[in-house]
Amino acid sequence: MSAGAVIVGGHLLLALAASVLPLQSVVAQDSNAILQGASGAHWLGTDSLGRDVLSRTLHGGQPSIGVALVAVLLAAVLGFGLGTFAALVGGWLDDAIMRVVDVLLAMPSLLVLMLVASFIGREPVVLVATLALMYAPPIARVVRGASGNVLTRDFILAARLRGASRRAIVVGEVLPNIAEVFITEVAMQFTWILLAFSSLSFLGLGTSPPTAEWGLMISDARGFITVSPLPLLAPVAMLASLVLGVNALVDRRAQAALP
Amino acid sequence: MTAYLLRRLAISLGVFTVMSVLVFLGVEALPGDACTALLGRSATATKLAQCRGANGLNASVSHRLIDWASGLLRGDLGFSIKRGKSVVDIVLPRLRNSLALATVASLMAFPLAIVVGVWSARRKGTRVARAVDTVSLVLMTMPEFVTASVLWLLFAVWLPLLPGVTMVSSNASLLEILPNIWLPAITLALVVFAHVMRSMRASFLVTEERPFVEAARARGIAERVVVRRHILPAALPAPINVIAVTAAWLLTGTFVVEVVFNFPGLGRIAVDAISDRDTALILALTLFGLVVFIASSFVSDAVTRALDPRMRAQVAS
Amino acid sequence: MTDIALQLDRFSVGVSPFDAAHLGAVEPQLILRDLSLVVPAGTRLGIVGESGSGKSTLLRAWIGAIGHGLFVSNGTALTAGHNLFSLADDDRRQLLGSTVAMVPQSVAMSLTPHLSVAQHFAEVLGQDTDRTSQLLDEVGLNGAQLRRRFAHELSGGQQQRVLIALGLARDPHIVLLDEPTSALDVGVVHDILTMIAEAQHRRGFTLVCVSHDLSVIDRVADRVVVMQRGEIVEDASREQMNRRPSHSYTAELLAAAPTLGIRHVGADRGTAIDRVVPAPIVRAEALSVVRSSSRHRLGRANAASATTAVDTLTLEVFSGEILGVIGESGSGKSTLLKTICGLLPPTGGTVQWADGFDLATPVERRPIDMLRRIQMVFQNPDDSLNPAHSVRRLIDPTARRSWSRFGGGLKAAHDETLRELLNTVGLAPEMLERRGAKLSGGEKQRVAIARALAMKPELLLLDEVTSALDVTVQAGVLATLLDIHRRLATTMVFVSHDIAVVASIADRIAVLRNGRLVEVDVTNEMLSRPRDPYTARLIELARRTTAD
Repeated sequence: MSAGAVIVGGHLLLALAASVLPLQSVVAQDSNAILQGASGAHWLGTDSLGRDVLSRTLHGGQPSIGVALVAVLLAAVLGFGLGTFAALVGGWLDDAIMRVVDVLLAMPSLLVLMLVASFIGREPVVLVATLALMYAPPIARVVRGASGNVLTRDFILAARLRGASRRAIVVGEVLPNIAEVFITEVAMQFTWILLAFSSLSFLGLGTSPPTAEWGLMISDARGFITVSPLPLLAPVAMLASLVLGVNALVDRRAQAALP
Repeated sequence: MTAYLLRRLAISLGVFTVMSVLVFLGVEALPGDACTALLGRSATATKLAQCRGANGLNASVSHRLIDWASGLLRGDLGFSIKRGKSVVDIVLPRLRNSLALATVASLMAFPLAIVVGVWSARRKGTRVARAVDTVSLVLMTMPEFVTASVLWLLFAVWLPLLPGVTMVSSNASLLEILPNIWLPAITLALVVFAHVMRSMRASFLVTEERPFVEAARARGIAERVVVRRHILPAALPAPINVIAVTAAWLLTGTFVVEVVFNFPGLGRIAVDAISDRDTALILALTLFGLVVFIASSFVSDAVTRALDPRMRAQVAS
Repeated sequence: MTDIALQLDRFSVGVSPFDAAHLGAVEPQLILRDLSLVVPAGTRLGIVGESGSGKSTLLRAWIGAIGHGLFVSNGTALTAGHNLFSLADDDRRQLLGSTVAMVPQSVAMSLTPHLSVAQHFAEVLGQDTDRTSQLLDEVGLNGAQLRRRFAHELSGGQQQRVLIALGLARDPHIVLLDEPTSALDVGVVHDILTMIAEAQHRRGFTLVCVSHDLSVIDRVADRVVVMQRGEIVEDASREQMNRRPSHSYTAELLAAAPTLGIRHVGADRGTAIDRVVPAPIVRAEALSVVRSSSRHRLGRANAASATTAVDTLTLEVFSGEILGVIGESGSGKSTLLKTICGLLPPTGGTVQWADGFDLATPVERRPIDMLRRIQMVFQNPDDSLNPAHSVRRLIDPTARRSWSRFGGGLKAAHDETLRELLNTVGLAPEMLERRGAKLSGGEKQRVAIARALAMKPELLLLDEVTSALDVTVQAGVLATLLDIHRRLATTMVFVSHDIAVVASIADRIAVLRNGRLVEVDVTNEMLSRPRDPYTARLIELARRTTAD
């Protein structure tokens, strides 16, 4: 098992286990113990409101990982459907779809997210939907490119000569040949969604306080790093290791896919 | 080539016109307007009507679109009710600061990224090259607020070499702002460097595998010439595209870094404008992003074409 | 001065351990095995071998560049007395071009796309424009006209000539040619080989030419080395080898190469011809197919880029025959096949099945019975077999039938049927569960044939099915096709650029040129009495390249 798999698996486990582990309260404030260093009572110290950093750090992955997972699944379905559809129909409709995809790709996703969060609302449903829409285009583009290449190959003609339906061509001939690229791209987009969402929280437009979320925790801790760097470093380490873990995993898969 | 550039310019103008109208309508479609944002919880029906009447918000959408467009042609971007100032007055000094920040970051990142990209491609497989590769991957995938926070901790707190949070106002002179540029610029440069470097490296490696490179080497042509004349012109379009995209991002996507360092640029004012729903300001900033995006794809297309004889030929005919 | 131009002494090349492990090889693989060879100055050597024989690696050893992941595991290779592997890079480069020149093959884009012809010469000659013109003239090109062109503005033959001129630019003593004619049309091949032989005669350099094609070697070499799996299995003068090859593999190569007028495969062909009933199974009348060469943005057709691939063609395919179709690239022969099976729409004329069914109907709208009747085998099995599927999945027409329009139209194929099918195409029944991607080139093409036969077609369209295969493998596949024809009496249309291959299998031959029918006749009749000068020239070129 690769290091990437271990890290990503560990993160998922921790995020799930945080709710059942005997951790201190995420929100309980202790005004007598603010910005303390590591101690027996608080293994990673406390933040500026005297909350337990360890507990907040372990819980802090739940919102971002949850939102990113659901959003990336939706984006994957959307992107795959759009990409294969465009490749299959070809012609002007293909061009039109890919133009729209290009325009969506060119929009700065963080800007759109901020606008949505500020004007429409920051409920998870709204953010997940926006993220899925913003991150489906790159997946559609990759799927379109890869299936376009597959569709020009002679085995597609051979399948048509045997009476294969469009669905049979997509599912039976194209899909097995683009699965690798597709999975890799989806995993990459998962990290970008994760980053976009925590950036949004960092800017104060994502998760609302007092919920524990890494981006928000980093934002809160910035003003106090001269006193205690732990509230900053703990979520930084978690976010960094998760992103790197997914990348290591993707890198390995991509390398294994090479001939 | 000139004919191509002119045609491309005309298309860009067309795209800008259409897109700016769409942006206007998009911002219009957002729930609430400048008056609901200004009055907030204290809004009552009468107060809102009063405010809207005073600011011309009661006119029809098409009327206001024409007003706004004609203002645009005269260089008037509207008035921010929330901030009580003309949008141009708010945006101009911050645009200057953002341009300075982007320039410094570009100068630090782009030339170095091309050089290091070629260098690491030519030393593929060595330990140094692999280390550079890993570090760049880390830089590329970290959220900017993580990179920024770490740099801040390192160079402003533990080793107090550079000022961390900017304390000067947005319209201070460039000289006053310059010391505050370094940390945000380094943060941005690191991210941008990683993207361009990896693209240069990958493109170089792919090009090097092409048969004409082996053929040139077999003719006894000096390695230096093979790299400069045979590989690079064929390998550059990919990283140039990345440079165009990232340069656009340096001008329009730096929200997080500017907030971290409290840098008085367009990114931070955009976050503020969005947070307090200052639609006039949001509209102007989005429009600016559109201009930057169109310009960058224009430049990147033109350079790519100039490097490819097949495309040059098509253009000539 | 030394009389020996090139030398190998117990020379071996292996795959470097890291790459070997990557490829899953257990023991270190040798690409070249213990080769010893002496090439005297001024002689002409041909190296022939099939894919994987190591011939290209051997050629590259003499310029000291055998490629990534390979290393010299033993022995030495000397070029004009120098071991290029032990020289410093700068010293090695001094020798390249002036002492030894390597001419790469043109099909692989060996000219730098963004540099003009003149710029290529300037790099090796400096700004000597007279010399450039002279060199282009020597290889039969109009220098003044082509100097400013880029690779994409040159034909394949022109690119190959420019590469040869670049090789000759600094008057090398030794010229190494790598497949100088692959993927070129037969007329162009003839001219280029003549030009090479003349240049060698005039300049007197040592010539080494590598090819998979014995007929090419025959034209430019006096001595032939045959390679098989990294070893030299035959080293003889040309006459000696043609008369009395000492190694069985050489004999096999010679026998496998189809020669005009002699039927190597299917000795009992006579019976098949008797069975031909002159009743047309497909009839094309004034058929035209216009193909647009590129996709157009938003459906705007660009008249300039549309080409008439098939032009008012009238042709009948008789039930039970093998009709050969020959033509050079761009003659419309593949387009014709794709039109018959409904993959391309005709733009003029008619094309009909025996019972009057309109074959202009696209494949998606053909009734299942019609669909089944016409099947096609494509040129490159790597492209026509889905690499993700097993052999069973590839050939079983009822696999995942719920996705196919066949629905319950076909009975689920029994293992026995599928095994029988593999047997028909000369494959072992155990292959059924293998991954298609893991088979050899010849096996893959046999699977592709089995896939077509699984539909029990009445007409089998064969598009250059042997041109991606090595010559010995080609002979085997041709024999299998004849066997199928004899047993199942399937009508076949066999398309190829190689008249010798077509003549060895077809009852009748149709010659296409620029989408038009030049002539069509019974094979022996056409070979002995071609009516059109174009056919006569094709036959003459084929005769000249095969038998002196």
